[in-house]
Amino acid sequence: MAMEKRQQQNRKKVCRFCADPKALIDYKDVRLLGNFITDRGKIIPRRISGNCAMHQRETQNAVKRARVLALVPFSTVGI
Amino acid sequence: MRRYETIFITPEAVADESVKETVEKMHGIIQKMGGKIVRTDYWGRRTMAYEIAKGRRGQYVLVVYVAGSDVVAEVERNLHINETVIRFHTVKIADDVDLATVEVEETKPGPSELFAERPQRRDFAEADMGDDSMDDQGV
Repeated sequence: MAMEKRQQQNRKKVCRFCADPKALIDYKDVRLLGNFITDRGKIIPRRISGNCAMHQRETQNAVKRARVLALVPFSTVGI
Repeated sequence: MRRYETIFITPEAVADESVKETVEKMHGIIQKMGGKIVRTDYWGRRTMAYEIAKGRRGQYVLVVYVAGSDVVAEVERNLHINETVIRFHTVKIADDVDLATVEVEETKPGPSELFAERPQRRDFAEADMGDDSMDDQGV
């Protein structure tokens, strides 16, 4: 039981963009970016999303660009 | 030469011809200054994630082109002046593009609406405040 739990915790997350080189990060792809923001509009950290540093940086920049164009919210609180 | 893409947003109420006019003017600038238009996508009217210029919906147009940086400056200067444009954004896609190898692409549809499906929050508050005109103010 304890063993199982530890295995669960130790399982390494794989960056989905490294796993699939065809998956490109585009700031216009609202559906994709939706996976990397919370309901409140915050960018999901790398320790949860599992992205590698390079791809996390790319998604981060993509979300920020999308926010400027109102494709993705800055915040959903108080709108 | 570099490959750029510019997206601009106009309010929902702006007529389609007016948007076309803006696009044609942009095309004119790019072509006159030695650039090449790769493709132009009309995304149509879509709900924005937040309010811009007192509106929640806007018309999006994406123009992809290959040109020098001076062209971007001129295009953005014109969008600044244009009063029907409420927001624009230019992104550099690639460096060192050879103009001769650039091919014109087909138009693509815009991204699917993610936020349109979600029920609008605080609609009731907006409805209340929206009609809060000045008529009951005396004197």
